[in-house]
Amino acid sequence: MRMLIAEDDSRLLTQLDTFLQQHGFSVDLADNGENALYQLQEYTYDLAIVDIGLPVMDGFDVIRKARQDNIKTPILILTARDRWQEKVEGLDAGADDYLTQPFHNEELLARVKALIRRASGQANPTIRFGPISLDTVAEEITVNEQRLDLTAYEYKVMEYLMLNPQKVVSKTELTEHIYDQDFDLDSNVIEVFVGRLRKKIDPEGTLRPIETLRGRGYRLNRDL
Amino acid sequence: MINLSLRLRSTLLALIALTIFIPVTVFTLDKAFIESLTQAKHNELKLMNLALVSAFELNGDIPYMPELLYEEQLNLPDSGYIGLIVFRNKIVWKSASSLHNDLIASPPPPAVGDENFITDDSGAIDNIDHYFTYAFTAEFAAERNFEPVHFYILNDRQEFENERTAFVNNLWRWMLLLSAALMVLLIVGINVVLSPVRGLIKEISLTASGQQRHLTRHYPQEFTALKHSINRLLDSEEEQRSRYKNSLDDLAHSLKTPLAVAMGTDGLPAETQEALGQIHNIIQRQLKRAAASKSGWQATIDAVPLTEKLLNAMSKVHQDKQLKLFRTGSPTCKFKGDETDLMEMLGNILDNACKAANSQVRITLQQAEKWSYIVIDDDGPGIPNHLKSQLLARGARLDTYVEGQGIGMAVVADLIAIYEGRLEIKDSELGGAQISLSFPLT
Repeated sequence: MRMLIAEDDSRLLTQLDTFLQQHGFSVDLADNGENALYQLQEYTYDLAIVDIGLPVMDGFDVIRKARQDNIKTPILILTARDRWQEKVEGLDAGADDYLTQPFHNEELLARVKALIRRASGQANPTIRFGPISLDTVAEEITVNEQRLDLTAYEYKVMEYLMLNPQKVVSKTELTEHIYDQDFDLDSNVIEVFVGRLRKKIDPEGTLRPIETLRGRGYRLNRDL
Repeated sequence: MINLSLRLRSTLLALIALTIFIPVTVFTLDKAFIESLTQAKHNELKLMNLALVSAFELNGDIPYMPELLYEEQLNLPDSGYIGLIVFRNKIVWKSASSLHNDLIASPPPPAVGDENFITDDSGAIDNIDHYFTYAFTAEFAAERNFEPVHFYILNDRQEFENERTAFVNNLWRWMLLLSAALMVLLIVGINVVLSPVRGLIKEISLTASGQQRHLTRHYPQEFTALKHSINRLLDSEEEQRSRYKNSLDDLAHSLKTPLAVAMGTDGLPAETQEALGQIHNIIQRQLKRAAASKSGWQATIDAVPLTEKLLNAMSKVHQDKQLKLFRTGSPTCKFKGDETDLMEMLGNILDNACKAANSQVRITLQQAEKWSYIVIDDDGPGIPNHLKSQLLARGARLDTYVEGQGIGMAVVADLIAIYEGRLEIKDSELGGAQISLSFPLT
């Protein structure tokens, strides 16, 4: 899952970056409102965390302009001004949820996951397709109640496909969503991850969980 | 005098002025009238006397007067005018008009060539008590030498007094009429003059009760400066409140960001986490109390649009629960106070209600004459009786929700106390808790 964090306090930014990367997110950073808006317009994110008190352009304007540009990325506002007026204004501008500072990292993680899930139309933290089940809270995938031993990147690929079950996901899109902005892209790596995932999920070759659509990308098998 | 109204003071002053002015005017005019009338009488009697002198003749030592005179008043009995001529200390002639009057004595004569005018004489005529006397002494050639002859005209004062009385009565009547007209004019005038003052007082009271933000009516030049000063004062108070609030926001921002960094540090011992949480709670609650901006001259706001905004926000935040959030009650509901503070109270209560609710949250707004009522119901598990009062205590945290810092209801209780409102927690007919707030509108 690829995420943008717009926060002007460098210590908090670093801390959030480290914490969210530890939990499998690819994180892009912006330290002012103008950069945040630019990145939202240029890249596709699964979620953006936007601080209200950003320099150059405040968080409300970033959200408002992003929504005017029809950017549908779920946005979580981060605010130190924890008055309801600010929260309501932020939600009114187009944010999807809020979190007031200071917060526990676990609470942030729960909100982030809930928002991503909600954006994919899933209300439940556990997403099931046939025998495959994705627990977004525990960050694990089980097949017939057996937990799979996946690497972080394998989990990210499967999570993205399960959160976008009807969609044909190109290799580029997958790359963008599981890697950071400055990562040197190599689409062959994706093929490797998908191949390893197929083996781990379906060693017998009976489920065929991930379809390959030649020249277009991958899609979760709709007959699961 | 201290408690008398301006109108009463002005009316009293006008009454006092008239009470002094009217008698003094009557006295002055009466005096002027008497002087003028007396002068006229002097001239009249002098002319009459001259007529006597011209008609009188002395043949040797024998005085002679014609039987009829040109002055009719001297020919007619009881005319009030009596002519007398005294020669050698004897009354040698008296006018026909003195037919019914006995002359007791002749008035004192003046020297030759002199006149004597007495305005209030008495004792010479038996049945006239007070009279004017005009006397003149002329020398006439007698048998051997020139001898003085004294001519008198006596005039009854009664007619003069009647004329004066009629004048004074008339004068009083007209002066009283004039006073009444003046009083009416003054009262109307005072009302006209005081009308802008009444308007100003009414507008100030509307502004003070929050029904309008500024003084907007047009006032006479004298009050324009006052109106502008009051408006400037209101603006500066609002600006100051907003500046104060912004400063507190900035303070909150600069305190909470490092606090967030500290709380996010890996491997922090549980005691440190707890201590940081307490610091945060204290900062949050104290800053919110300090930012509460109730003031005496605050405008009222409509709570309905604000509630709608909050319900929209809640439906977004608690989207996962698919709650039915709805508003009932009056189409408008006034709240006398700051919008931010009302939003803070309702936001905290609605957020708690949404967290607790199973399927629905209802907010009811009602406005009575002097109070507004806001009731929030949910269909959650409700609050046990023994915990209801504790919920409002400092930093109380009775729920088991993951989110929230646990001081929401305490902040609500603080704000309600600042706005002199009332807070009740009951069981809701929906099955959960019912939180009722009421705020005074005056």
